[in-house]
Amino acid sequence: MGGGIDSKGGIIFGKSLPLGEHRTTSPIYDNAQVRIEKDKAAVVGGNGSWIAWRNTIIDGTAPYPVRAFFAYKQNPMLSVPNTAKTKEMLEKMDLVVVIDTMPSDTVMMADVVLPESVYLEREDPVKTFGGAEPSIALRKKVVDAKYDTKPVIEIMRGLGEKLSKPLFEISKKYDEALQEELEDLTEEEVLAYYHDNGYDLANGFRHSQETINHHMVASVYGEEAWKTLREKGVFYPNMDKYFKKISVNTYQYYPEHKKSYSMIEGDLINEPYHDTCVDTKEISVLKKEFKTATKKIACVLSNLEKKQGVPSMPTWNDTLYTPTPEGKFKFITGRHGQFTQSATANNALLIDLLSENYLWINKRVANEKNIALGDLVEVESKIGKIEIKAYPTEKIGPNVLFFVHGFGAESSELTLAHHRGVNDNLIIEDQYEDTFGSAAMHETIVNIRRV
Amino acid sequence: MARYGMALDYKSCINCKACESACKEENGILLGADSHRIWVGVKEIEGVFPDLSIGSTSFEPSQCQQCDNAPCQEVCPTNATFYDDNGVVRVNPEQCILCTYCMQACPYDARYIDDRTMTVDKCNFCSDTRLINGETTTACQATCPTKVRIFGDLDDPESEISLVLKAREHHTLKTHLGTKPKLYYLT
Repeated sequence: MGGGIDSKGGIIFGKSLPLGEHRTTSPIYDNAQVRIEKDKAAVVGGNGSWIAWRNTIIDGTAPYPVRAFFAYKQNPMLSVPNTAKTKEMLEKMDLVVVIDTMPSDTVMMADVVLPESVYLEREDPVKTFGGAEPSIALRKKVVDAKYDTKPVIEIMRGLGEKLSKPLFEISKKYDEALQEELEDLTEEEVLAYYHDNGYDLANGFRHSQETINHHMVASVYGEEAWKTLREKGVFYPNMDKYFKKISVNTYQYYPEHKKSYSMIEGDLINEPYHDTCVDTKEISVLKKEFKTATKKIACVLSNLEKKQGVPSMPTWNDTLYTPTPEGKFKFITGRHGQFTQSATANNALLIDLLSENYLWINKRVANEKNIALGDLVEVESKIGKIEIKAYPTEKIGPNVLFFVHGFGAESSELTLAHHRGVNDNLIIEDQYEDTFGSAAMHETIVNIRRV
Repeated sequence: MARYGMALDYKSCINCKACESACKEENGILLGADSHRIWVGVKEIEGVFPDLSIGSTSFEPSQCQQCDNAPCQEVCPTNATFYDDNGVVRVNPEQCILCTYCMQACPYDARYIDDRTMTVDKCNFCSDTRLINGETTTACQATCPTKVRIFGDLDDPESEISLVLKAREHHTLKTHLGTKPKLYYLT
């Protein structure tokens, strides 16, 4: 609408460099059940609604028992509102398995920890980056694993090899569709069926990451490209011709005329009285057909309204708004430029930049309450109570409080992060919006008191 | 032989502190040390919420100004502070007696005491960690995501820093003191 699509400085779709295929078959289980929190929001997708899922387990209202919890690289003990409830859910599980590189708070709740190698100790899946200057990038292993850890692909292969056969036996016992399929088969044919239909869960992880990466690159761009990618870490067609170091500060990856602004050709006319409606180059943008009913950019999705009863162009809904009562505060949370998540909490270089989180409070309000920089303040919500140092500032409004997310690890194995700063999810209430079931993290009303 | 300087496109600074981290990692500066070698100056915002002066919170990357006429060198009684062949003001820790005259003399507050060696230290444009190994940039310059820093030879008329100083307005800090800094702030 503003002309910002596919032009310099705007949103650029550009081009992507496709990779070769790495496919595997998944088994189809006859009696697979829907997600337990399917009805907790209008559109619960494949990723589910974390809070609704967790709370359904705690409530004991799940339509079928959920007894095991597997986590890969996730730390819900710190990352999801209401840590106390997350703890309760994990304690209800018969089995908790966590794969991570760090001994996070969630790792500390696990019955089984499968330690993953850190990024320098493993080869990662090759990745393609689309845009105006598309490229393919590869992160190679540079050192041997220091401790008894494995890349996740090996962990998955090992788990697959261990679990597939017993799971298949269980399926044979209870899955009527599978029983029908196997009815007249010989033992050998059953084994072939097991392999060909995805029941061998290790199938997708059979090869090493390096072999898979090689196939995905060389099958499309040839062996020479694979060699370049391994040597330079980056590859794109014509890189040898296009890439130049221009100065100590600047590099050219693509010459200007080779960048992938897919729809607009030539330079935009930049003069004040220029009528955008008559420039043929710009009309080409408007001619772009989108995959919508009208072939234009669609803001109203009638299907969403018809099927799920969700207004696709939301309007202000007064009943969803919680006003902040006099004398109380709304607590909001957010990320810090260097501390983006709890996973980096134990990094010495980052701790050097921000050693703990502080409570932002409006300076005039702090003055009234006799709270100075560094004073300990108690913040209490409906679900919890914390103590944190204050940072009076005019950067925040008078009835709002804020501190950055990612601090306050309880895990004593995180030697640097342990008890450093405060975990925001000890006080953030576990509310979620009713369209997708996403966490509504800025609805918590709190009281404060100088300690 | 060169005459090294640095131009700072300081209005592009986003205070990510990558330069500080890179400097500490490259030059073995103690973690937890504040304003050692390089730093980004930040001021608390002016105004009353919601009428805030955005301009009042600009970020000012700073460090040793690498003066051509350095007061710290002039007052050093043991010649521990010296100009090297590239015009970089450096400290020889073997000769430093920690009299701290240099710290008093520096108008930019760019010197600090290294608690491990008990000598006064300062930015030396990574002379002993990078330039000596054939690198052509400092750690802070190489890591800066918004390209604030341009490091180079002021005596080479074709170097990027020379070209940029010809093409863009700039100023030095506390110019009136006659210290002739080789850090140029681009305006």
